[in-house]
Amino acid sequence: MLEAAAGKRLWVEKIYPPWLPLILAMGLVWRRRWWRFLVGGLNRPVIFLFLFAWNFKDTAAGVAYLQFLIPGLVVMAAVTASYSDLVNWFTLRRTFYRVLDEYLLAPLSINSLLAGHVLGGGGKGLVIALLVYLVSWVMTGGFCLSFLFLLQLAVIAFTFASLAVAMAMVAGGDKDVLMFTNLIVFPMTFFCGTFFPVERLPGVLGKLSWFLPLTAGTYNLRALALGGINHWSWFGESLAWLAGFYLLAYLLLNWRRQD
Amino acid sequence: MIEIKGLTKNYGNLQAVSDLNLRIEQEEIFGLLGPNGAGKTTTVRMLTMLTRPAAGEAYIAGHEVQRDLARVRHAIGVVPQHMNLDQELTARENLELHGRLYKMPAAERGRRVEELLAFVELGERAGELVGRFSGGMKRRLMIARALMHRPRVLFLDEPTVGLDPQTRRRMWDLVRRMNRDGATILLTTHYIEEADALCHRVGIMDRGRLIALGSPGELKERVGRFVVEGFDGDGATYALFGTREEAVAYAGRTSGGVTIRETTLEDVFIQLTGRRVGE
Repeated sequence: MLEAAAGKRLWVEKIYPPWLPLILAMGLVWRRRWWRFLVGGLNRPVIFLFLFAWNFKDTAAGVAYLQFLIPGLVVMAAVTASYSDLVNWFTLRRTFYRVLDEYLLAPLSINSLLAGHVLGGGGKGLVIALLVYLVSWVMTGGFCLSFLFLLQLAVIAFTFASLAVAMAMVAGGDKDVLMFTNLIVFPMTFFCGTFFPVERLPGVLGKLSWFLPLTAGTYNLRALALGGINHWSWFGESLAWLAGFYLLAYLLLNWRRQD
Repeated sequence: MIEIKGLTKNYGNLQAVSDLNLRIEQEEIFGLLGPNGAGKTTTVRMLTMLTRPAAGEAYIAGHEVQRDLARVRHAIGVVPQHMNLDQELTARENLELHGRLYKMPAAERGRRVEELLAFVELGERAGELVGRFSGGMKRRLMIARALMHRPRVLFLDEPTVGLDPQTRRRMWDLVRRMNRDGATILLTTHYIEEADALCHRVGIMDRGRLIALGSPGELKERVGRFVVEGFDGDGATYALFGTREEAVAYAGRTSGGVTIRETTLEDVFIQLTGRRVGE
């Protein structure tokens, strides 16, 4: 009945990227709980937007504070939506559902496994961040949207999706994830020029913040949003962070496989 | 179909599997029997490329496991000991995902999903999230998933652990049907009756070593087909005999109550190791 183990493959392999099924699987789960992901991704930036819009009439870096703030909120939305959901997704699937073994048994390279998760998680972050951008644009107007803006935003989202995979490989469970997120990732988003220029940070902190993975990307995104000007050095720096975190995630995924 | 030469795995100072040599023929149900920690799961993990061996080599369907990953992956299906289904997907979606990972075209994938859901009797629950399934249903779905890409060799690692007796019998029927359809099956178990009921041949493992190999009948023959079991005040006593007549004669000479019964694989294990399977 089954020709179960006859070993005769009766099909010709479909030609599509091997990471695509992973994105489809993520999409199925997200489609089922779309409202939760949407509200979870939008609530914090939108609350910040309303609070600051009412209370701050100041200027920052030569522009109205709200204009300055909105690109920062878009960055925050990209980081939250791509990092937080993916790190929980992968940690749960590695430690509790143990789906990672199923992926490791499949004809799927480490690179495809990583690419699928980074593209899926980062893609979702990109969509949420664009929604925040559109909501803000409707409220205030006066922003630019270009291919380079989208590219810079995608680099930020994929950087933090890579960090999420790396973290999920070493986390013992959801408590480790929560601690790392609350102690490192979430505070970092405040010190990378999202809410105020890093030059206003006291003492050496302003200089140190340029060594954080988000600062160059935030500054470039703001320049692109406000004036349509791309700074290649900032773009290159954020690209280097993406390459670094991707490599780290690759090494940790490979280590987990050997383990 | 499976050939293992000198397979060895160490975890620190612990030798999990030591110089394992074994050949499993096509369309055979082969059982690795032994207590927890005997090295059964480590053996399966090495054969399925989830753990790298310290030494030795293995071939599956003519392909070397460590060198020809892609061909081996297509040739094998694995049902691990732990549940590893995506609980946030439905039964059908789990099978679809597996088919996509193996690049099956949509039409073939759809046909196969329906065929396998019917085979494991989950057709009516296909659209439900797996998180709501019972342990037995999850096990059956894992078997369906392992069969999805038509593997030639199936690895079933403790396939009935934690299941109630009724569900366990149902799983045995599934294993027999898969074998009848042409599958070569390597299963690990610490349930004696499971190995006895299902396997054409059994390898008994203890502390990482293969200590006996043969059909259940041969292994029992080797130690004696009949057991005289008694109690001498300190504990149970066992005496093994080749024929019922010898056993009856021995029982007649023994004071106190004794039982004469046929030898089980557990008796074989005790005879070889001096311990019960669960100890």
